[in-house]
Amino acid sequence: MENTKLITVPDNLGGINGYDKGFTDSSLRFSFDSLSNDDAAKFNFEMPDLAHFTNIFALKDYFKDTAIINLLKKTKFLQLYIQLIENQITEEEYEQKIEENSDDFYINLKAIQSDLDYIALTSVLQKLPKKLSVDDVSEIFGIQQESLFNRILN
Amino acid sequence: MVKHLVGESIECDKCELVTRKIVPSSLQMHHILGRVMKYDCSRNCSAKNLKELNPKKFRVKMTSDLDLNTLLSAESIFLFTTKLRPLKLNVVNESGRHKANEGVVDGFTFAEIKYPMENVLNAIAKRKELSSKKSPD
Repeated sequence: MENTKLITVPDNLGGINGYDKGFTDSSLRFSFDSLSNDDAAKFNFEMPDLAHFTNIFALKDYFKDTAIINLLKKTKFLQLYIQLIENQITEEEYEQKIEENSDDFYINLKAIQSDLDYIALTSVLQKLPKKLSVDDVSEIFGIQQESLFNRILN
Repeated sequence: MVKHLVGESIECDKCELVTRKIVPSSLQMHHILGRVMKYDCSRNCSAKNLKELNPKKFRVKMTSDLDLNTLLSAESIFLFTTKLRPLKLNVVNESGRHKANEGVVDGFTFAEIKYPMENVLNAIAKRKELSSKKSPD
């Protein structure tokens, strides 16, 4: 076992360092045993850790997908709005189109449920411009603003 | 009364809006208000409560000001309104040099001064740091 290396994933994985104590305390550990015949790495994952690890990536993908969908909805709405301002359609047609295709225009807002959601969101936000305001983030990622404030209070 | 601090908000049934730049942002399915339209206002803007809510009780944010004639004034604000039709705005002389758009939102309106997301993230990180110092376990 002398040649066994232990590799530990950094604690700051997934966003704010030390935010979720339960997550950072149980950081992922896996070992490489160079003496083994097949040179295969032996992974010593614990199931709760692995679940956290996969959840973070799944949640990040979810937020990115949601952002694309919401920006498409916003674009579609603004295109319709421009048509109205340019007098290409009447106010009645504008309202009718929104009423008939409400799923294509309305952005749904959901609450942030857990610490993992929050960590995934901050991780995605780190790659975006820092000038984003809270309402912009709420709009892009479809998040209720109140649920963000609850993170401060709780 | 003038409100001008970051994060302050008003809620009213009728709102007078004066802003140099206003753009419609998106349609949202708000979990309390239902279908709302969001506007982004910037370059010095103000929103004035012209009609109080009936009953006078907050609907969106607990700390919102609900009093008549309260003026929310800031560099940039956003507002939700249940009135989905486009606003009718008039161009008025706001100052000696600049013109502004003025209009009345006739419907429930929630207006709030904008603030950056980074502040919220820093506040959460700071709070976690403090709580971890208190309980080292």
